[in-house]
Amino acid sequence: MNLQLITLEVVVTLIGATILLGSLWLPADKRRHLPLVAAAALVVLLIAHCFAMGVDTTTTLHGFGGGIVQDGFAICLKRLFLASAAFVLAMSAPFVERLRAGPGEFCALILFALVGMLFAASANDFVMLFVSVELITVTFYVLTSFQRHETRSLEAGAKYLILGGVATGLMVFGISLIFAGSGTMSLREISKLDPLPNLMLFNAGLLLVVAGLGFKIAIVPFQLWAPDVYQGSPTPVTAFLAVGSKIAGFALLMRLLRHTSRPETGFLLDALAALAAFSMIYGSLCAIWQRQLKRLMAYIGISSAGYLLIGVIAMAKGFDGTKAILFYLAAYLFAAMATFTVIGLISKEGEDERSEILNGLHKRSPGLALTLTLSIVSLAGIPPLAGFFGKFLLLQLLLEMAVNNAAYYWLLGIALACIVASLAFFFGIIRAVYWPSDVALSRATAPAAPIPTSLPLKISLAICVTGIILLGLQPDVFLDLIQETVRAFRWQ
Amino acid sequence: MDGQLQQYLPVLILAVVAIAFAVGNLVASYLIGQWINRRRLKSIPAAKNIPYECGMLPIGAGNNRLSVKFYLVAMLFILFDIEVVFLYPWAVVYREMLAENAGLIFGSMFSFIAILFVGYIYAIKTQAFDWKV
Amino acid sequence: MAPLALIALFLPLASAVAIALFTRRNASVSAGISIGASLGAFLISALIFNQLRGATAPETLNPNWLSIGDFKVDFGVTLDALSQLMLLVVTGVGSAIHIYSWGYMRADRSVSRYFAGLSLFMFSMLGIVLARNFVQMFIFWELVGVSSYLLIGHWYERASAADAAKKAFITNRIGDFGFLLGILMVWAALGTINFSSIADIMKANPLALGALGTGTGLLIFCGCVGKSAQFPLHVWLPDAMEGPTPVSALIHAATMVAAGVYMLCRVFILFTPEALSVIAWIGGGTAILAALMAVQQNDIKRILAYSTLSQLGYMVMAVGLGGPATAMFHLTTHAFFKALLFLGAGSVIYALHHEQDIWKMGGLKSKMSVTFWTFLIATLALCGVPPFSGFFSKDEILALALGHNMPLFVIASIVAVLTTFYMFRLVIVAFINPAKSDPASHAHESPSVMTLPLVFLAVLTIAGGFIGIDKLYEVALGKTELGNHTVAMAAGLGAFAIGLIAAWTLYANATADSLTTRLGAMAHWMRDRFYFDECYEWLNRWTQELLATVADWFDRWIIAGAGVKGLSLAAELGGGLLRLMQTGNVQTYALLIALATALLFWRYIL
Repeated sequence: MNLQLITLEVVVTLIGATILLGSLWLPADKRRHLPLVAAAALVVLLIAHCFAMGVDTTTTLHGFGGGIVQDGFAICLKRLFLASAAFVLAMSAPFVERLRAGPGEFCALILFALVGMLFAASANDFVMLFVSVELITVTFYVLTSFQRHETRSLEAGAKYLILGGVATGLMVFGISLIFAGSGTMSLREISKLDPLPNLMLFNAGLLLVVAGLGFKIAIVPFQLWAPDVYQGSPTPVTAFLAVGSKIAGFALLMRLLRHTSRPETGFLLDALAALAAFSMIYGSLCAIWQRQLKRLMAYIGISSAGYLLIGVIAMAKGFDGTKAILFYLAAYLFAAMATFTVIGLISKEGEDERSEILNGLHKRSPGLALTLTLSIVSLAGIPPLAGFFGKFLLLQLLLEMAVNNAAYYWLLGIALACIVASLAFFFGIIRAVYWPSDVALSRATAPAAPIPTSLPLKISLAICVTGIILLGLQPDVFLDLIQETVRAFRWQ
Repeated sequence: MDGQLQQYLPVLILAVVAIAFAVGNLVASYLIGQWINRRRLKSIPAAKNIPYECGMLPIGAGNNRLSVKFYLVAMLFILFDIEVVFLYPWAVVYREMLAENAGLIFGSMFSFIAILFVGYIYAIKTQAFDWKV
Repeated sequence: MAPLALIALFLPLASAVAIALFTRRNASVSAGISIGASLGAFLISALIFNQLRGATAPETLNPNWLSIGDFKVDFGVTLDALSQLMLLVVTGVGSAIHIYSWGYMRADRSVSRYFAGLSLFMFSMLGIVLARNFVQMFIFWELVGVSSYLLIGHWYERASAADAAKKAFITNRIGDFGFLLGILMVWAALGTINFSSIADIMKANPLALGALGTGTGLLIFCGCVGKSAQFPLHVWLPDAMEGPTPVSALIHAATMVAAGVYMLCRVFILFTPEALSVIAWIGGGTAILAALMAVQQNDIKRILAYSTLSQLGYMVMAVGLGGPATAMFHLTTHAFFKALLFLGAGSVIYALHHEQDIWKMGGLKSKMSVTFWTFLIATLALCGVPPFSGFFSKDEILALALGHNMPLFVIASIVAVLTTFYMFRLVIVAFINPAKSDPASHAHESPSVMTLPLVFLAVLTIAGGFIGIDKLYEVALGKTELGNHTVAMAAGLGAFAIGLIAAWTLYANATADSLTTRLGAMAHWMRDRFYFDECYEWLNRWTQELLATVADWFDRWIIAGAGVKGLSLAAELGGGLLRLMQTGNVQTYALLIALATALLFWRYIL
C-alpha cells in the first residue's frame, strides 16, 4: 500500500466530489464560478506537484500489486493532464450558460475524466489500463452529449457511445487473449516472460488492444468517429477529447509497447508504421477541404497522431523517442488549447463553427486573431514555433531509424509531404482571419464588435502563446527539463 | 486449456438444462394443444388463437410506454446493487487480509462506499427518487 | 569635445522623436522644438569650432559597437577641420532654413510632420559628417535618403510629389548599391573600414588596394554619383523640386547633395589617378549638361535645380582634379548662396501663391526688395563676381582645371558663361521685367521670419570668401596645386561678362523666350533634358517587361502549372475522395472499423 503514488488522483477525486456536492447547495447564480474554482484548484495542485510535494522524478516506484507505477514519464504526463484540464475548465467558464444540465456536474465529470487520465499515466497492468480507459471513456459519453438540448451534441454522444463500445469490446477481447496467451495481467511480468506460452494468442490480443487504444488516439482506421464527435460536442469537451484523451491513449500505448515489444511482436511496429503513414495522409488531405473548424481540428489531431506514432515506434525500437513525444505533446497541448479557446469564444450558441465565423476577426479582436494565428502556425509546423520543433524532433528520429531500415525513408517522405500539404488549411484560416473576401464579409450578419474575453481566459491564452513561442525559440530548455524528468524512463 | 474449461462443465450443463426446459415447455404446450384440438374438434375456431380464450378482449398495443422515471430508478437500483455484489468477495477475504493488510482492505471498501455515497446524496438532492417531480 | 559632438548629433533625433510621439497635434510647439534643436546643434558646432579651430580632436569610440566575425565596427565621431566646418555649414544653413520654414509652411496642414522630417534629416546629415567609418557613414547615408524621401513626398497627395520621392529614393539606391560593394571591397582589401586606419594604410602603401584599386574607387564614387546627382544618375534631382521649397534649399542644394562630395573628400586618399580622371570627367560632363538644360527651363525652382547639378559637377570635377580642399571650399560657399537662392525663390513663390513659372512673374524688384537684393547677391556669387564668396571658390576651381586639364578648363569656362546666362535670364525675367500676371502685380514682401534668414545667408554669401574657410580646408585636406590665377580670373570674369550681355540683349523687356525659336530643335532637347528620363523610362520598361514576361511564363507554366497546380490538385482530389468515407453513419463507421481490424488480423496475425 503506497498511497503517495495516487495522491494526485485522490486529491482530484476529492475536488470533483466536493464540487459535485457543493453545486447542490450553491445558489444558481453562484454556480457559474465553479469552473474557475476548479481550474484554480488544479493550477494550485499542479504548482504544488511541481515544486512542493517532494515528488522525485528520477526514481521508479511501484505499488498496488504492480498495477501502479510512478516514474518520470508518468509524472511528466500527469502534469500535462493537470494543465490541460485546467485550460479546459478555464475555457468552460464563459460556456456555462450553454450547459443547461448544470456546471457542477460538468466540472465534476471533467475532473473524473482527469482522474482516469492520471491513472492512465501510471497504469502498469491490464486491469489498470482497462479501468482508466473506461473511466475516461464513460465520462466522455456523458460530456459529449452534455448540451442535450442540441441535436448535434446528442448525436455526438450517441456516436461516441456506440463506437466507443465497439472499441472497448475489442480491447477487452484483446486483454483476455493476452491473458490467455501469457497467463498474467501485469505488464512487468509479461516483459520478463520468455518464451511466451502462446505467442499467437498473445499477438492477436496485442493487436486488438492496440486497436482499442487506436480508437482513443484516433489513428486510421479507428479515426472515423473523431470529426463527427468533435463537431457535435461542446467546445471545451472537444478540447479535452482532442488533448487529454489523446495523450492518455498515447501514454497507455507507450507503456504497453515498452513492455511487450520484442522480436516476436515486431509485426506490430510494422503495422503501426503503416497506420502512421495512413493517419498522416488522411489527416492532412482531409484538412485541406475542411471548413468546419472543429472537424478541422479533428483532422489535425489525426495527422498529429500519425506523427506521434513515429515517436512511439522509435521508442519501441530502443531509440530515445520519449523526449520527442513529450515535446510534441506539450506543443500540441498549447496550440490546440489556444485554438479551441478562441473557437469557443467566437462561436455563438447553436452556431456551426464554420471558418466563416473567423471572417474579419483581425478587425474585431486583434489579440485573439494573433493567438489563433500563432496556434495554427504552430499546428501546421511552420518555424520557429513549437509545432515545428516537435515535428522536427520526430523526423529526426525517423531519419535515425532509416539508417538501419531503408523502409523508413518511405515514411519520412510521406511525413514531409504531409507537412507541406498541411500548409493548405493553415492559409485558409489565416486568410479568413486577416484578409476575408468582400463576399464573405458581406455575408456576415453579425456586427463586427470586439469579442469580450475574461481575465482568466486572457491569462490562459497568454500562457498558451508563451508556451508556443518559448518551446519554439528555446526548445533546449524544455528538452533538458524533459530529459531531467524522464531520465529514469529508459528502454531496458 | 481443457483443464481450465472442465471446471465450467456444470455451468454448461445447467445452461443446457435451462434452455431445454424453457424451449421444451413451449414446444410441448404447442404440440399438445394442436394434438388435443385436432382430436376433439374437426376445425380450429378463431377464438382458440387469442391469448385469453375467455374474458375481455384486449384493447390497444401489448407493450406500454413507461415513464422515464422508471428507468432512472431502475438504473440507480442496479448501480447500488452492484455495490452489494462487490461487497461479497470483499467480505470473503476481509478476515484474512485484516491481519496483514488492514489499511488496504478497509480503505479500499471505505473509499468505494464513500464515492457511492456522494452519488447517493447527489441522487437524493436532485430528486431522482421523487416520482412526482 | 566628442561628447559635445554627440549631443549635437542626437539633439535633432530627440526632437524628431519628441515631435513624432508627443507634439504631432501642436504645430507651433513642434516647430519650436525642431528649430531649437537645430539652433542648439549650431551653437554646439560653433563652440566646438571655437575650441579646436581646425585642430583634430581625439576620437571617442566604442570599439565593439557591432561585431560579426572579423568584421568589427566601432561607433564614434571624427572631429577634424573637415567635419568641424561641415558641421558649421550644415547646422548654420540648416538653422536659417528651419526658421524660414516656420514662415513658409505656416499654412500647411501637417507642419509637425514636416518639422519631424527636417529634424530627422539634420540628425542623419550630422551623422554622415561625424562618421568615423564607412559603416557608420553608410547607415546615415541611407537615413539621409529616407528623410529626403519623406520630405520630397511631403505633399504625398500630389501624384507628382509621390512619384518624385520614389524616383529619388530608387535612383539613390542604385548608386548606394555600388557604394556598398565598394565598401565591402575596401574591407576585403584593407581589413578595416575606419577612415583613420584607411588613411594610415594608404599613406604607408599607396598601392594597398591592389589591382582592383581603380574599380574600388569607382564603386565608392557610385555612392557620390547617386547622392550628388552626377551623370548618369542626375535625373532625380530636378524632380525632387516637388518638395517644399525650404526642403529643396536645405537638402537638394546646400547639404545632402553635397554629402557625396564630402564623402569623396573624406576618403580622397583611396582614389587612384585613373579613378580620379574618371571622376573629373563625369563632374565636368555633368556641369555642362546641366548648364545646358538650365538654359531652357521656365520653372524657377527647376532652373535652380539644374544650376545645383552643374555646380555639383564643378565640385566633383575639382575632386577629380586632385583638389578636395577646393571642392570643399566651393561646397561651403555654394551651400550659402544656393540656399539663399532657393529661399529667395521660395519667397517669390510664396508671394505669388505658388506660381513657379518665371514668364508669369516680373516686376518683383520694387515689390519685394529684400528678396530681390538678396537674390541678386546670391546670383552674383554664383556667377563668380568679386567680392562675393562664389568668386573665390569658382576662381580656384578654374585655376585648378587650368593647371591640370586644359579640356576641362574650357568646359568649365563655358559652364561659367552658361551659368551667368541662365541666372540673369531668371533675374531679368522674374524680377526686372514688368509684371506679366495678376499675382505678380499684387505681390508683397514676405514676412520677416522669412526675410531674416535671407539676410543672414546674404551676409554669409558676402563674407564667405574672406574669412579664411579655404585655408582651413587646406589644413585638413592639404594644399592644392593651382594653375595661373590671373588667367583663371580673367576667364571667369570674361565668362560673366559674355553671359550677362547675352542675357541682357535677349531678355530685357522680353515677354517670351526668343531663344527657343532661334535654337529650334536644340532648345527642345535642352528643355526636355536631352531625353534622359524618357530614355531611362524606356530602358526600364523594356527590361522590366522582358523580365516580367519571362517570370510570368515561368510562374504560370512551370511553378503554378506543373508544381503547385498539379500537386494541389492531387492533394485536393485525394482529400475529396477520402471525405466520402466520412458518411456520418454510425453503422458504416462500425463496419469499417470491424473490417479494418479484420484486415489487420489477416495481414499480421494469420
